[in-house]
Amino acid sequence: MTRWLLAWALLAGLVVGAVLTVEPRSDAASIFGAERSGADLLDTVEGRGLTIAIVSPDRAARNQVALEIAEALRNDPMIADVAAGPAAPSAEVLDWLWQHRFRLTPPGAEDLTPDAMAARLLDAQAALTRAEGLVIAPYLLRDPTGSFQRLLSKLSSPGQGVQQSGGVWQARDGSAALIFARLADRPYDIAATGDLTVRIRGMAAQSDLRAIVIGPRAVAADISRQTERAAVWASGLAGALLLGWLCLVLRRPQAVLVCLLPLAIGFAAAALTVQLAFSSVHVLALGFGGALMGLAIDYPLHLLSHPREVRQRARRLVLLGAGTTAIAFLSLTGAGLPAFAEIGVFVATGLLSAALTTRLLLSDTVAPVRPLRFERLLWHLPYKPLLAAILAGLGISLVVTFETGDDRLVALPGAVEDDLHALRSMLTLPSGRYRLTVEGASAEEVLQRQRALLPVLDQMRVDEVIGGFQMLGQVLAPVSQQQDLALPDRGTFVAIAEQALRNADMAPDFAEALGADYLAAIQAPVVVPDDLRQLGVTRGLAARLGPGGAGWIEAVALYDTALPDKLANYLAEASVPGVSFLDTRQSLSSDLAELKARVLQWLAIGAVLAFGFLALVSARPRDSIAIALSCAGALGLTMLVLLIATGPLGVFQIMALILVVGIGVDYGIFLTLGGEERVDAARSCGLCAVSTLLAFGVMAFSSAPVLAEIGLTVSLGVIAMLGLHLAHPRLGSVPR
Amino acid sequence: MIAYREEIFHPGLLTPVIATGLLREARNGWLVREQTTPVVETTRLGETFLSVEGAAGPNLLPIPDSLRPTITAMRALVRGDTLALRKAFALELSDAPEGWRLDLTQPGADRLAILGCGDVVRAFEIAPVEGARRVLHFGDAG
Repeated sequence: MTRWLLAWALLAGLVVGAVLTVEPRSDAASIFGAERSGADLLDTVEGRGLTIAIVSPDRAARNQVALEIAEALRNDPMIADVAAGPAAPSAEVLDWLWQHRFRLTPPGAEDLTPDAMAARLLDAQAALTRAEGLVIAPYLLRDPTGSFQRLLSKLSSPGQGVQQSGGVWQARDGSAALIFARLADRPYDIAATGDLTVRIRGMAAQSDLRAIVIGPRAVAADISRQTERAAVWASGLAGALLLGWLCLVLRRPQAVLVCLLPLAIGFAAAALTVQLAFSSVHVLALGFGGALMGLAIDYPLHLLSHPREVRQRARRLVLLGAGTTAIAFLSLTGAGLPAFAEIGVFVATGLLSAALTTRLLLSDTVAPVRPLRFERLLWHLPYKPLLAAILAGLGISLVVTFETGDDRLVALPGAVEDDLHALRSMLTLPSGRYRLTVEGASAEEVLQRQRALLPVLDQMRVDEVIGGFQMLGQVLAPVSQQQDLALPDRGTFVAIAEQALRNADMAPDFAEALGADYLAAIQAPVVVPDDLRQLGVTRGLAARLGPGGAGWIEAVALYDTALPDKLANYLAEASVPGVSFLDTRQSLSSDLAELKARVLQWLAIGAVLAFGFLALVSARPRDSIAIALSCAGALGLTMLVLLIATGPLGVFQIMALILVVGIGVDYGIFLTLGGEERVDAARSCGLCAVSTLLAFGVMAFSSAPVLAEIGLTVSLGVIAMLGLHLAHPRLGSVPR
Repeated sequence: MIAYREEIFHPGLLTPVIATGLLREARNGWLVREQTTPVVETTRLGETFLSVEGAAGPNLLPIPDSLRPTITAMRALVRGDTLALRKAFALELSDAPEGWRLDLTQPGADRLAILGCGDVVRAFEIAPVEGARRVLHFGDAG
């Protein structure tokens, strides 16, 4: 009774400590390393972009809902900018643009001839009687250089094939109203972003309309939510099945508690230890480490499957198994990736805590479980060491040879892919895969480099290598270029203007007024990105350029990137400094491949250390080698089957294989080092294997790719481990 | 439906630009300007947007805040809705060479005035601080 009270008190203390102190985090740098630039795309301006389509054949209904949603989002702290349609520039904005027109779109020499200016004056005169003339014609009459007209054209184009109707942006196929938004510049929060997309869809659903919400953060949140839902469903079902199974075989609530309590204590202790060691706990350590911790349920099952008289020896073997697996996992701390180091510490601490708790709780007085006759599964396998070595060599060499199979994880879920496909028919989306960035030590340097890049991108558009592009440098020149305006002085301009007015049959005296406006435009202060961030019409464009990378960075939006190889060639030939082109999917794949190599390398080191520890502590090096060989053989077999069934292995499958090895080590220890109790060992290993299969078998059918791959890997691995460890090369050693 | 003849004055012009057409109110309450000369163009003015159908094809433009008082006054004129004028503007009636002049004042808006003689409204004048001054003469589309 005292032991039970102690265990419950320990659990309560650990849980309270963990709840009060554990700070989960989900940064990608902890997984891929801080130097991997492609890892944190969600924290960029384009990563915060959000496109919402309100789908309905009823234009009035969809416009109404779009306007209501835009209005609601305008007051949402999650949103920085939102627009459901074109906004009329205020008089102040028009005046500011008028004042700075030469800074933003300076006239060229060809614009300053009497004929060109006369033509523009006549156009402006004609515009007086048109609707748009009500607002801008007076400005146009005062700027015969055409600079203001060009600036307004540049800023007013919605682009992306978007039309407008009833004041609301419309899909080019006329199927939806569109809203463009940008999330506030705050750290990516899966829950908050997920709630926002749910709110948006809910607002549309209230009017029986469908909302498509697409944006890097929104999609990531959707995938996380789907994974979370799948995980809750899988863990609930697996938990219920496992509990039912334990109740069936253990038959006593006390025995069931004995199995679950060490697991709970191990999990809480692991979370607390990682928090203390790393000041926070990565969600990967919590989720993946938690799943790997499932191994801990085997410890009490092993002990309960052994009769009281041999339990002392079984307890020692449990500790030996936990210690061996813990050493293998601790090797991950050498990989230099915080999240994986945390997984290593999490699992090692958790397993050791669970093993010690099992030892504390399971006294010899606790009755053994009803024996299930798994000893019948013991079988004879001639040349087992040779076969195991061949399987191990084949499996491991193939996994190392094949590229990573993480493309399956990078692929978008079907529903998101469908939404994206629908949205692509509505407007031209900027490429989410190809990322062209311009970096510089200052905003000025980025703009200078963009000016050098501009003709290259224009040429690519002409050559149909890209459909289009958008960057701040299209509107804003660097300060050095703005200050270097090669324009005639006021007197010369007035003379040209006077001639232009005569040519257009207008009042020559007006040239003096034009000269005053011209002088004011020449003398206007230079424009910097911060100026454009203050204006509604340019805010979105200016926000593209911000601190990051080597100082300042802007990602150029690329449209219709059908020929990425040619695009890369054009950029390479231009060799503009600070410009880099990245295929984010390829980059992520190579990041994952490097991650896989690093994890494999450290796991190999861990395996050597772990089996060295086993040989040393058990003082039976030959048996330890036999266990290692069986584990390696089963691992190789699992890898082979997975390669055939699912293709190249991904990082998460490799991580799941560590759990398989951990389980296999325990089976091997009991079946090889268990001495005369081979029948008891077979029963305990069989019992544990069924428990593991129940939990991970359910996961294998999950709709979330990550969970399904882990579930399938562990299920196949456990079968292979049990099969190979139950096999014995000598016929006489199989009980009849 | 009201015929109009619009004269647009600007310091750069030797003679005013002339436009003619019809003004009417659509069923949905939008003000419709059907211009017939110098170019055919129909403009429908809503609360926040104006749609244009002309030689360049249909277009929809947002109405800047600065233009809204002008449109409010024109819509009230076409409807004959004096109450709307009273609600939106400070009114000041004065004598004019050809009858009377009613100045419509609203902070931040262009200078607007209705000109008339007896019980007949003759013209509507829009005089921005800078830019083109416009006078719409009613009942004079020819």
